[in-house]
Amino acid sequence: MSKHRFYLVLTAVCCVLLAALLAVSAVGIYLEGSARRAENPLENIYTPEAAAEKLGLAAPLFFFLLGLLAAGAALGIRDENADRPAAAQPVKTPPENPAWRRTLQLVCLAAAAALIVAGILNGSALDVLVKAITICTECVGLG
Amino acid sequence: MDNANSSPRRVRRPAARRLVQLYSALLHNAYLKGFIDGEIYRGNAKYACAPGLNCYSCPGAVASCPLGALQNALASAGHRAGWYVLGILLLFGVILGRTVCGWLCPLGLAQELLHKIPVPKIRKSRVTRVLTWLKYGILAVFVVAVPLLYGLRDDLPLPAFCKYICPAGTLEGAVGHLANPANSAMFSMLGIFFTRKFVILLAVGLACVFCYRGFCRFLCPLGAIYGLFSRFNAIGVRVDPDRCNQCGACVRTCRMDVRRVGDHECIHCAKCMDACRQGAISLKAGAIVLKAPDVGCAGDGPGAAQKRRRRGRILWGAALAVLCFALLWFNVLDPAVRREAPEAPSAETWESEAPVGREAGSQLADFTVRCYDGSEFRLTEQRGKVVFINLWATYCTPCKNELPFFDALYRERSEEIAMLVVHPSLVLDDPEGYLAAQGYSFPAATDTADAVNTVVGGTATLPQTVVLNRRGEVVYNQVGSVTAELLEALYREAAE
Repeated sequence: MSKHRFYLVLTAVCCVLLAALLAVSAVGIYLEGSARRAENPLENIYTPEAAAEKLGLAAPLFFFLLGLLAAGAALGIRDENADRPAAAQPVKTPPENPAWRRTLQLVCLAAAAALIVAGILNGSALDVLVKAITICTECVGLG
Repeated sequence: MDNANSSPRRVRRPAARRLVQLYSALLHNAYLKGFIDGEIYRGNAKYACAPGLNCYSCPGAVASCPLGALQNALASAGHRAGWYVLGILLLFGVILGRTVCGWLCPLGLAQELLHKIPVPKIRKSRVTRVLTWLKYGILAVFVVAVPLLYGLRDDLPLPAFCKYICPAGTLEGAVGHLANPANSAMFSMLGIFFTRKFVILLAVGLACVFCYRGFCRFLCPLGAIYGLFSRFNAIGVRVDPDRCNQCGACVRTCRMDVRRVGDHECIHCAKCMDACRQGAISLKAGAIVLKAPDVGCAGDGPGAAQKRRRRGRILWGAALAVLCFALLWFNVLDPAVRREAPEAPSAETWESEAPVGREAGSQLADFTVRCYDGSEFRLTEQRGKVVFINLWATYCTPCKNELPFFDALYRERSEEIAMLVVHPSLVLDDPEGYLAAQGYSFPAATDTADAVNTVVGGTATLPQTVVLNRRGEVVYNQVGSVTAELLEALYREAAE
């Protein structure tokens, strides 16, 4: 394995390990917290202290990865394979019909304007505002 | 000339596109004050939807997320049709289409930056092409069917994509808030939802390291919606059929799973222009050329390139001015930002010696609200009882889900406790009608004068529960859902 390839694989392994470590940490905090809560419903499952402790465990790997990335950037290492053209594939001729396209655009623009005005009148615009200025805790994953 | 077997002439750095992406991400999240204060922007700009996927619960977001708004509109279909969101999506689709994904989406930028991490990359193949259809399934099930079903059947707003999948919501909405020490109280509500979505966020992030725009290509329903407009969106890459020799270099060098330039998988990033030696591809807005190939456009005069450069400079100048104004407006000038937090009124007749406040251990200031049944609820008149105050809204699913617990507690202990369930002053539907239809017996009111909200320190986050002991001291004041067990435990603690 060339040094270049070794670097790429090492970085990949670090990325996977870091993600796995963070995922396991989150699940671990959840399981420990759930057990505590089962005994006392007033106990929090997640606490800033538990999160900080687990992040502390992942920190060395994170900084090692950062160092790797910095070294890679300095040496200009990247996966050339990513830029290699894909295998030959059938190419479809792009259909071009400007007149048809323009007509459809105008119809859609008119429909969009009509819908927006109708939405403002029927109150659905206010729906959008209310949802946007209120945090739905479940929706963002807070709980 | 065939360029099928030749390498591109030179690799052009997509500097302009990256700058536009950064610019767009900053404009989407121009409320920088929110990152410091840990609160979201609550001004009228959120009437408008942003084109890209950017969670509107992000502390910096100044506009609504079109996908979240669409799900909520479908969930509210039983009350009113969501014409507004449909109109906005149609407008973005017909003007920009998936150009949004390639140039404007903040999450697209994040994915591209993650993909810059040098690891062995997974290249596009038949498998990835098949996987691109997954996003249409997600659109049909999580964005359309589930919100519509729950909205019409149970009158419960359930934005399923936001709740179960959206990594933007987890990253910006959840982690964005939790990272701020001012929001440390939010840790109390974390549980299985957060764990699941955090793991999904990690998986998506990891996928993007190995696979170019892994979320965008396989999972993003917003990209699926914009892809529907690929045949007639106004701004995007166009192929000049007179110059194209069908060599296929554009499709082969593209990292997205396109079958042809400008199809429903094309994000109009214009990188294919570098691969085309015929100069057949250009980025256009209608007839206006936004980015021309080096080989030159058909009909280009000698001064055309210079004219385009001049136009580009003017555009960048205007964009910079807009950004400066947006930052100034959303952080300083907007009346919604300048509004001072109202001071809590002083306590009157509690017997406690605790200081007036909202945190556990302090005593809550007095307030009076008129309930739906015509009675008045004055806090200090509840002396000697354990008091439960719940802030809810008809447009909040977790709020609706926990109301039965409050009702059960109230029915069981109505002699020993006082309860008030309060809807914010911002009313969309009929909260009184909803509570009556559910047969709840607890006293409830709409906080028209924001009296309760001010006293308990209500934020933009719902639901919120406050529990006072018999002396009026705060035992519990937290946002997030509660369970029957937690309410019972809180009662026991407050009653001691």
